[in-house]
Amino acid sequence: MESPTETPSNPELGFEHLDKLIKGSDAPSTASRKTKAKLAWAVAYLTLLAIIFPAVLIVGHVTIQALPHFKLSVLTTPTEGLAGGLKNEILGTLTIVVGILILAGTIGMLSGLYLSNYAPPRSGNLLRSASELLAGIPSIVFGYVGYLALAVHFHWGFSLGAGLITLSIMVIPYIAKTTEVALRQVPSGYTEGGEALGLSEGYILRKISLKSALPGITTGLIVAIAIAIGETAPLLYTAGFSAGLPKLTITHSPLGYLTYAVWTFFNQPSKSAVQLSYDAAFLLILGVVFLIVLARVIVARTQRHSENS
Amino acid sequence: MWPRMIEPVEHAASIQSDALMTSGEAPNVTAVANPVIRTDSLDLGFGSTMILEDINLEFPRGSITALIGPSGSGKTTFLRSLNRMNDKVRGYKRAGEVKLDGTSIWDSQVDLLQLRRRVGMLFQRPNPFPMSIRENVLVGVKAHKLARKSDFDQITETLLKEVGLWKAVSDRLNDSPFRLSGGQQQLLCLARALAVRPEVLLLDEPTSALDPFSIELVESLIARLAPAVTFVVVTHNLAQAKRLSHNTAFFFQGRLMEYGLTTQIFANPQQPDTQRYVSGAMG
Ligand SMILES: Nc1ncnc2c1ncn2[C@@H]1O[C@H](COP(=O)(O)OP(=O)(O)OP(=O)(O)O)[C@@H](O)[C@H]1O
Ligand SMILES: [Mg+2]
Repeated sequence: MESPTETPSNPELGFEHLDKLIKGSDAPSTASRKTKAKLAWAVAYLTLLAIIFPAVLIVGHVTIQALPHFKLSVLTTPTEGLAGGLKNEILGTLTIVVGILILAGTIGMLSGLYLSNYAPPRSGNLLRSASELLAGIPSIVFGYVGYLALAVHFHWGFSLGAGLITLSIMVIPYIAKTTEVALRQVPSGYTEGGEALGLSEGYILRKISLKSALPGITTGLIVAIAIAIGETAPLLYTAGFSAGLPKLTITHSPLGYLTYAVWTFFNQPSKSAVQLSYDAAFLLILGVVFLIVLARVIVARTQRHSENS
Repeated sequence: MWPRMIEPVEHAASIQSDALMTSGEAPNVTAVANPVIRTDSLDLGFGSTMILEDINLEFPRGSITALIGPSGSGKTTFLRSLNRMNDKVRGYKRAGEVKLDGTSIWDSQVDLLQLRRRVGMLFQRPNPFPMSIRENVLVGVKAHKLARKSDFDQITETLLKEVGLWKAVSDRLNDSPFRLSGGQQQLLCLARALAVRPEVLLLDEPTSALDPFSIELVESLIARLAPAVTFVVVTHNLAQAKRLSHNTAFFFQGRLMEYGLTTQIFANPQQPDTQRYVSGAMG
């Protein structure tokens, strides 16, 4: 009977041999290790600075320019020519946010779910490559294609529908990717534990996996919305602009949005226009901050029972 | 492809039903003739690698069976096959049958979810779900709609008392289970598994991550539940197999080397390999 374990018969494989290969005494000294640690920390702080500095600069500049002259009437009066308020832009951006959440959110999350749990390797890879390709296309190209295909070819004109579809195609890859990654990180112990109890696939997904993946998915959605409300080029081509309040129809419904105000009014000679531009930028930043806080709250509320809370 | 082993002297099942009759610990004797699970020339493998060949085993209702054998001998693969946990694993191949109460578990009439409700599993690493302690206990009951909502509190209490956790957690039922100790988490998982009233529980090294005190808790619990639930326990702890089980199966080099009464396997093994393994000579 053969022994199931091997005993080293070659003396060369003993510890003396290992000692030659693994140099205990020549290991880097404590001093040099400490220097390296310090260096690593320095790099870490520098990168942190590289992120924080521009963020503070931009937010600070916009706030200083906007806040002292900010009038609440900006929220309640629509744009008139190069003056007035931003009511139509605010409502337009909100409409776009809701539309993106419904359209891109649904398709993106379902794609992520498919990729993580169901896709056979081949179609999974195909879908992933296509998705990465989409994510790499400049937004102006989306705008132009959306314009030619939807606004012109389908005769939708400048419209909410054309804008939403164009933006959705842009952000679906982000949502799909983050959803896929988040679902893949759900510990296998959760799913196996659920299966061993005889829970159905849907039940495990809804009550266990999605809950555990929620922080990741929420982050993806937030990033997608932030991208969507921050984009200008694709919307200029597809949604056009309207000083009227947004019409909730798919076609022939041009609408205003905050980035339009930021972009268009900033280059105008009139002082009130430039002021409106800063106000719009300020509101956009507030919106993004709100989204970040909202995401934190959602995550905190649902992760009370998570492994690392 | 396998080194030819000396065949077990008798069919394991026959050794076992006789022996169990005379054993003081024998559970429900009438049920022995009617094993809850039996495997018929079961072959298991992954891809082109054969892991286990021609496994014929019977688990009498209400008994505790220990599966022992060196690392890689296929204990986990075998155990996970008993409630079809391997079905989705890439490359998994099987031939032969596993029968639960005489019906193949792979029969097209079998509802997989019901099968797993009847044949539950406890894992090596405690794996509570990311929900409150109470929800963990109740999740199976809710999913299978086994009770009314008004009874949930009482069910929670009964199960947690059953596993000896009630005192420790009664005032924090809505807290995260991850703040419990490893041993307490495993007990919680046991309560969760018991909540769906399984007939069989498959345990894969259930105490290997636990301290001696928690091990004792889990073992006494298993011993107490055994007449009502049939246990199949994979363990590397020979003392545990000896203490806990009625029957022991020794897996070695792709085969079921020996199967019989635990007292027999340890005191008077029929195979030299079993002898070497249970005496600790194999490491
Ligand atoms: N999913 C898989 N794919 C391929 N091979 C696998 C897979 N799972 C297990 N194996 C192989 O099957 C053999 C038996 O593994 P198994 O986990 O059943 O052993 P075990 O007896 O439980 O060991 P241990 O005591 O270390 O837990 C091993 O050689 C292992 O590498
Ligand atoms: Mg194992």
